[in-house]
Amino acid sequence: MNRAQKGAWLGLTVSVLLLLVWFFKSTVVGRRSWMLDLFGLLAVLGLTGSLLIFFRRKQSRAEVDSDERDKLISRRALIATYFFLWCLLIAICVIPQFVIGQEHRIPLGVLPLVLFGIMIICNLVYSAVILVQYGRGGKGGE
Amino acid sequence: MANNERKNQIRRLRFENGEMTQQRLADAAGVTRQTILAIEAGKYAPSLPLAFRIARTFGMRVEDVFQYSDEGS
Repeated sequence: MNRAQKGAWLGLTVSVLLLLVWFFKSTVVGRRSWMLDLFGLLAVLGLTGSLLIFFRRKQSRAEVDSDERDKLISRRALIATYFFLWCLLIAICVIPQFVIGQEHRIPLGVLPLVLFGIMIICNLVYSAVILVQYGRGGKGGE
Repeated sequence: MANNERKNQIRRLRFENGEMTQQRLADAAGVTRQTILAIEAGKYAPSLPLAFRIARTFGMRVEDVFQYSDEGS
């Protein structure tokens, strides 16, 4: 497993954990639980800190971290995420108008949550697309 | 429709060159071991500069390492 795959696994794990905490907080526990906020923050910080253990040292000086295939995979994942982001933004703009109507309002506090959610979901998609490509052997350059 | 087929002799050449490991070839070519693995398995087509670097590692020409047949065109 190379550095890009490890990074993608980490990104996927953090995103899924954040979404789970978010879902759990908004459905089961309720919105006013600072304990869960703290738990979520600690989980993210802990996982970010594990980067130091996660990435092994190079076996030789000549060993490279990434190459042209990794860049190609990363670029494709970025394009897929960009496409997904546009679909998500269109859905977020259009669907609520049909569901709750144009005259309704949403609390101001929801906006940062929506933006944060978009960031998490995009990170999840990016990581997943990278892992799928490596799983398929990183076909490319054809 | 054209039937394209890529082949390479990397695996054979590695063993003919003192059983060179994939990691050693990767270090010499400036790529990761996974990329050498993918090229060997025919799952990834390397760029021209990388193909040259791999061929030069074995002291051979590109066409001796990589073959491409384009039947039907």
